[in-house]
Amino acid sequence: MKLFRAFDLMVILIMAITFLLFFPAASNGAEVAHVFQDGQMIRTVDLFLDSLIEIGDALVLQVEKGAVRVVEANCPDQICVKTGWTSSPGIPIVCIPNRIMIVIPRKNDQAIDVITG
Amino acid sequence: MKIAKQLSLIALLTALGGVVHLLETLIPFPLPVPGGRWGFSNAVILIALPGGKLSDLLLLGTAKSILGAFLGGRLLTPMFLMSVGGIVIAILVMWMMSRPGAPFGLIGISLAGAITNNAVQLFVAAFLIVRSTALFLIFPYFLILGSIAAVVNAIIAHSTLRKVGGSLWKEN
Repeated sequence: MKLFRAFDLMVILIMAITFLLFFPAASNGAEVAHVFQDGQMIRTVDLFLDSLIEIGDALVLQVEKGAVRVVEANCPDQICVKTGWTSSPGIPIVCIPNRIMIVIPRKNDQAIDVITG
Repeated sequence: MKIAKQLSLIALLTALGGVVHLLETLIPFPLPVPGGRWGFSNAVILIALPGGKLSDLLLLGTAKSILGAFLGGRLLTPMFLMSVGGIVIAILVMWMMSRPGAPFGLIGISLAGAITNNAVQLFVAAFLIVRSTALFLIFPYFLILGSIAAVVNAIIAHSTLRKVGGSLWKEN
């Protein structure tokens, strides 16, 4: 079997299109972060109110200067802690053991929310 | 191909894939996704692809994931579910693309396998585990890292297949 054939370019093209479709908008100075558990929004955090926030007994969040991170988690893999600070809609913090996601909504999402009430 | 030879070939590739599956978790994966891996163990699937039967390939893929998860202590965790779901769908796609007469090379097949594998993993995580589609925001990063591994896999498979004469499953 050959390593490369002309039709492989089609696969690369499809990949490039998918990439562009999903690529997140640049950081937008969002003001809040949403905390989801099991797909339900359980909390909205103001990113410009420096604080430490406990999410149940699962996580402790730290908010500072428009960014948020997880400082403590009760899970074994600590992936959410290692993710570090995020202030961009493109980089959610994910905790699979606790089924929690911390997401910064995109600016235009917020705008649509305002228009439709 | 004799059944004994076929079984030992599947066992050999499973052992190889399972160990690579375990070892690659030691390479830092720069994305904040639980269970996120490079996917270098999929090189064994690619090597087995030419001339392989679909049932043998699916057996190899699931056995590799089970073995890798078992060795890494992740058996039956959500990450394991992501891994098995991803590899099964990826094998179906790669098998179809490697049918005789299909106009694809190893790089294209490997990339398509990586895309479907990553997409299914994110689908499983987004719909069964965290239940939030916001997880798809990391898909582009997954694509970049996954395609690096996919190209490396294609090159490994290409040079291996050249040495064994094009297919591991030949009768000789």
